[in-house]
Amino acid sequence: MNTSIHHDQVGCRTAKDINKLPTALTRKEQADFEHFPATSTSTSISSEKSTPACCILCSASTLSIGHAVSTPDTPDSVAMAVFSLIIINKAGGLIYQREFQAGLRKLSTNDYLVLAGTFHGVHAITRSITPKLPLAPTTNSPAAASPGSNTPVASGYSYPIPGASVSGLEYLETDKFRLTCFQTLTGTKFLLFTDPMTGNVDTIINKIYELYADYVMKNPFYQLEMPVRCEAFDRHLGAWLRGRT
Amino acid sequence: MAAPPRHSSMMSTSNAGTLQSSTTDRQQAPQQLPTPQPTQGLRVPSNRKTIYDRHLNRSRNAESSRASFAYLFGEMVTYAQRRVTGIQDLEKRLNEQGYPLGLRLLDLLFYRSTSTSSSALSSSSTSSSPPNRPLRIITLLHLIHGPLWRLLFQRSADALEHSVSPDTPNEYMITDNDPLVNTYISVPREMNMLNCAAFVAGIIEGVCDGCGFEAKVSAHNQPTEMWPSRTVFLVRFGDSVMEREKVLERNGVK
Repeated sequence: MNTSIHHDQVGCRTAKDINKLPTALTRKEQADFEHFPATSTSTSISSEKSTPACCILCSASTLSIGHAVSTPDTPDSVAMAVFSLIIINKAGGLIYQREFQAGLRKLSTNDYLVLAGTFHGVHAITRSITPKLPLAPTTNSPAAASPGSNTPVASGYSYPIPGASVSGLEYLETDKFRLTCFQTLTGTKFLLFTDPMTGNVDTIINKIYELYADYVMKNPFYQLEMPVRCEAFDRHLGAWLRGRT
Repeated sequence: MAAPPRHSSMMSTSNAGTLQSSTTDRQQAPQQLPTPQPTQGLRVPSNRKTIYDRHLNRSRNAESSRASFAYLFGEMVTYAQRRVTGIQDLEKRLNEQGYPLGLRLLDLLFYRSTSTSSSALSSSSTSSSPPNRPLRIITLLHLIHGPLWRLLFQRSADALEHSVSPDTPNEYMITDNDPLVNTYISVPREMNMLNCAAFVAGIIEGVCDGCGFEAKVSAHNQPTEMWPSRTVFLVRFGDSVMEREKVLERNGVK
């Protein structure tokens, strides 16, 4: 797979030249991904909230999630669109999947399970490849000179943002959709597919988390780590998202 | 308080619960404990004022958090679900959990409604005298529909109906559009007959029995488009109650 990883200080949004990345897939790989959008979009992953951050820039075929809207470029109608939601439990299993818009490319149930597991792995990888900046005692670069409170000085490195814990992949953006990943402290991951223009995704995700805590975790018939089948959760989620648009 | 050996077994409740008992009791109690901790069992605040020391009317406007109730009730449902044979069995267990609560709540309800104003209880007695306990079915049902519901859920129930069928004159229905106990509960599809408000039905049954009206109460789902968790509590009074009702009606008792 043709993946190029840059550990530099480039901001993700400004890395437009990555569009020209060669995507040389073998025939077999193309067959594997044929249900994914074939457009070559730039995909950027940021593992920290702001720059300086670790930017992993890779070609679309490597990580595209197959949730692009099949009808392209209707910006007026999808200004606030939330396409779909996936919840992954702490073991990497898919426990909830729901689409909020018509016209999304469908995947089979098995593909969704594979997708959830794959994302779980990718998330773990992005966590572990967050660059560790060596702490040189003589230099006075700001990252090295101000070690975070949770950074062990003895091991001699610091993370790009001292004090902030390593979060792993937080969002992934193409020109068709934006995938936001929110990981709770308990390890559950909420993946929200939205239009790239949608603002306030954090608010949406927080509300979804709140609804999850209310209508899933307070439900005595829900078994932990099992697929979510809570009618009240579905109802409130749908009603809330409909009320926003 | 009885003989010392029995007293020691009641230690945990008596120490925290009845602090107004004689001081000798309190002094004896720690000596009988193996560990010198006077606050074993229930935790007592440093000023030794527990909820039992408060005046009953002090906590009348105190509310408990909805979330903590939801977690507690969720665990109660999970507990009742152990070793049940079916949905009816589960509902029966929930009903049995609520029944003693209804019996006990009734006294608190009467106490609070007499100590404030006589209008709080929609009794048929004259407005100057304190309200009596309900004697007729309608009075009882109004007590449940209004004051009891307000005590439990801070609002009245949504409807009170009498069965229209001539075969079942002993059936009454109390409707709640959105029962508090079911707020966060989604019943799985294979158990869709189950309604966890059977617990509330048990409370109603306890109140009815406590007032001397033998009754069976059950909770039924009646979802509507607007109220997906609408619940109807079906109150079925026993034959003896209906006979007495006829006698009271003839004698003009209200």
